[in-house]
Amino acid sequence: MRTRRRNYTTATEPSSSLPEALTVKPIVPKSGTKRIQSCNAKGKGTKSKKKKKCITTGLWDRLIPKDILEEILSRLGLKDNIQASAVCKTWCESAVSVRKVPCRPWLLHPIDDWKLTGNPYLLDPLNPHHPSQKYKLNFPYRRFKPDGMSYSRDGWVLAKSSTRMYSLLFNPFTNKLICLPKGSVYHLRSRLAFSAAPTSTSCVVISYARLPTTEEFLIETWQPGEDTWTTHRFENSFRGWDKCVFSNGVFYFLSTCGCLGVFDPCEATWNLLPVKPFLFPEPVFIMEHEGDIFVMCSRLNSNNHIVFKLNMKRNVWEEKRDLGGLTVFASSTGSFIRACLSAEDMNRIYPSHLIYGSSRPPKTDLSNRVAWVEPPQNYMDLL
Amino acid sequence: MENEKKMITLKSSDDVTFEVEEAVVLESQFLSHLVQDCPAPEHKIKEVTGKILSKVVEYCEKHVVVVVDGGDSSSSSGDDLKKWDDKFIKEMDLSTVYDLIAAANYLNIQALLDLMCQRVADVITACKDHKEIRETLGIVSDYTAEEEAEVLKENEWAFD
Repeated sequence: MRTRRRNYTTATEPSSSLPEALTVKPIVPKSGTKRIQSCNAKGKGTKSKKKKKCITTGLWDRLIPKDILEEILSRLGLKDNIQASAVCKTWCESAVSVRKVPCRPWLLHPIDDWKLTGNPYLLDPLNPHHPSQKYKLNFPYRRFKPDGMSYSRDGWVLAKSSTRMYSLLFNPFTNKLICLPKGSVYHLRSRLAFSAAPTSTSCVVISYARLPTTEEFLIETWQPGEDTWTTHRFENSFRGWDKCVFSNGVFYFLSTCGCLGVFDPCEATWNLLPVKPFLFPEPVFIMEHEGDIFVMCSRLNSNNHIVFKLNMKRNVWEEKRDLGGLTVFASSTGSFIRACLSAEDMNRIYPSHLIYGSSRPPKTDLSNRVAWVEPPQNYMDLL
Repeated sequence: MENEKKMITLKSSDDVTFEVEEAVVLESQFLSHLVQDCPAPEHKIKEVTGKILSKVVEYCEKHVVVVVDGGDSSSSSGDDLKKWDDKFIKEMDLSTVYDLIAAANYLNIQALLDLMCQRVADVITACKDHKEIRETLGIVSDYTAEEEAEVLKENEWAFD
């Protein structure tokens, strides 16, 4: 049971706020507290509208108890929390103390890079103390093609089976595995994505492909507990919707010609967004952060990266000259953006194809065989 | 049964009195203990004004869990209660919100405290940036220009 009690200063002059019919007696403010008013709207004739705009200064920063301020600020998302920290020093202290920063992602190597066989492992390459420590996994990775990994989110990875006829969701941290039902014949060549961990009720898995010989775009959906996939067909005059990211409750698709479309899994609707198409040079990575959509173009063996952010108001892609304190983790299976990492990692881009913690160069380009995965909150207990 | 409901009188700091059923008082942990420990017919709450206490009583009366013949409150009444909560906080100015947070904190009414804190969080979220938050809540920044620039620079993306 939580008990809170502390001295508290009232915001309004109580005597004037009461109905006139009541007998009122002014109370003496608590000692040691000051009350500063930015405007004087307490007169009898003041209209309520004007009264509403009256702001008592000092209330929400100097007088508010720390635990209450923290309680309020803990309800904010990361972006709002950071904005709150710029309000004043008191708010900064409280905002930082309740800031929820997602963990940096880890790298999943489903097969050993060198032998192309052997044990799969996880790596936390940004760990300042043990960047090259390999966490061996006991996981039946033979059941799927390592280059069949399609999407990564919330600690789970979605991959095609070795026959490619069905898909699997697995969590390398918990060793949990879920086999999805067999999809349609198009499953063989479709791409996959999902909205949330399959342990969440909001989880939707999608399989998408353009139907050959027709102009139709096929999206199949599956939710945990269902025996079959649900098929949705949409008119589509564009080709090659080959990149997808889930954000704001919808799946954003980027086509090879730089168009942007959205699939709403709740409404089962498909729409083209009126965003000016932009021909991004390949390879392209699409990702989201705090509701914003980003695209990164990269040359695999160079440090030449260009990052674009979707301006949702103006419907244009804006090139970002710098990352503004963010860190990008790019892989073809799923790319992530993180904020508030160490000063050293801020404004940096981490591709998946580098062999972290090793001085030897990779034998082959393994970029699609290595995936960034988001560790769960209690990941250290699991390993 | 109906006629035997125990009534308790609450008196605010400015001597406004409210006669409420005991069940309403039990919504507040602080008042529950007070009523148990001190079975007087009237309780003075020195820290809360009549204006705010009337709001607290209004909230608690609405939120008293009604259990009739062992039946539970249905989900539709839960929706109604949420609508009522929304209306309750909608037209409230921020000074009243502050006072209600103070009262809910003092009287230990967790649900009311949560509701009011969420209201403030929603106000903050609706602001476009830190300057608007200051303006809305009447906060004067104590940052120097250099300090503020440093805070903005560290997480520039959030101020884009």
